[in-house]
Amino acid sequence: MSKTILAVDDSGSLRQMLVFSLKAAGYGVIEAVDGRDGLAKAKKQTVDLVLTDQNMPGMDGLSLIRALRGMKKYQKVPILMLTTESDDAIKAEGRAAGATGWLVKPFDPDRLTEVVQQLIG
Amino acid sequence: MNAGDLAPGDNASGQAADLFAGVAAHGNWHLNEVTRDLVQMDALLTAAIGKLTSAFLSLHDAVERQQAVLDQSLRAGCAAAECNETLQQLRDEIERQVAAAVTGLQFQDMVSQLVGRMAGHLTGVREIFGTLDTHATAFAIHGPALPPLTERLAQHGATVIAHAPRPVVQHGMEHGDIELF
Repeated sequence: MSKTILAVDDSGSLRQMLVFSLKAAGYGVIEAVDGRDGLAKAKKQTVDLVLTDQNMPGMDGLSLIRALRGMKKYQKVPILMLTTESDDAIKAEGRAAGATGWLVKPFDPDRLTEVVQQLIG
Repeated sequence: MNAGDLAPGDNASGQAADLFAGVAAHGNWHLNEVTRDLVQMDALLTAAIGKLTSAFLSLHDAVERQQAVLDQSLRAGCAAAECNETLQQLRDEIERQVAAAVTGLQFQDMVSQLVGRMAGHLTGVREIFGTLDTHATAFAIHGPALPPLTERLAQHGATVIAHAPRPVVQHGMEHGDIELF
């Protein structure tokens, strides 16, 4: 059974690129349009990895990570931040919140799937 | 007291100078940020279009060559190993170009952030003028109540700076770094 990834980003085109890249690598993908939507979908079903943007309306990526890490079933699930931001201070904030890794946009599909494979096989 | 009652050199001229300096500083800051974002947006769009055009042309070329190999194998037959090797190379080339296109297509996300920042700064400029406009009537009736107005603009500037979206750092469409913690 293929692993499922939750892709959270308010940009529709970016989500399309994520779905295209991850499905081509054999993963199932659930899309969410912002942190709140991501949290609702993560509660509804369990996913193997979460990939989230930082700057989103409503609930941002860091808040989503904190909320997920507060749930028992997401304490060990890899959560990757995929964002335009690369400032050390916000990376440190992401790490403290419980992010597993930090990917700076734009992403390369091959490198993204390599990292995902490394984390969940 | 009306503004016209003030003598030259009165304290009001110093207050007016503070006000104008404040308006100029805040206005300039907003406009400089917008200019910076426009330059960056131009760079991102140029890089994205360059990457997408190159990927599109290379894809087209690879598909044509792939078709030629298939045609040749159908017409005259080529050695299976030779055909397979050529087709595999072309498949790899197509995958590389599709990956480049996927990276290039992400320009919209960054451009949208830049547009959001610019809209925020233009709103800031509009608020500065709005503040001046609101106070213009009171100014005409009650004379120069400039310190509160100057203070209001300074507060506006501080609020805008504190809540301004962080700038987009990317100037091109090369893929970003990956760091696992």
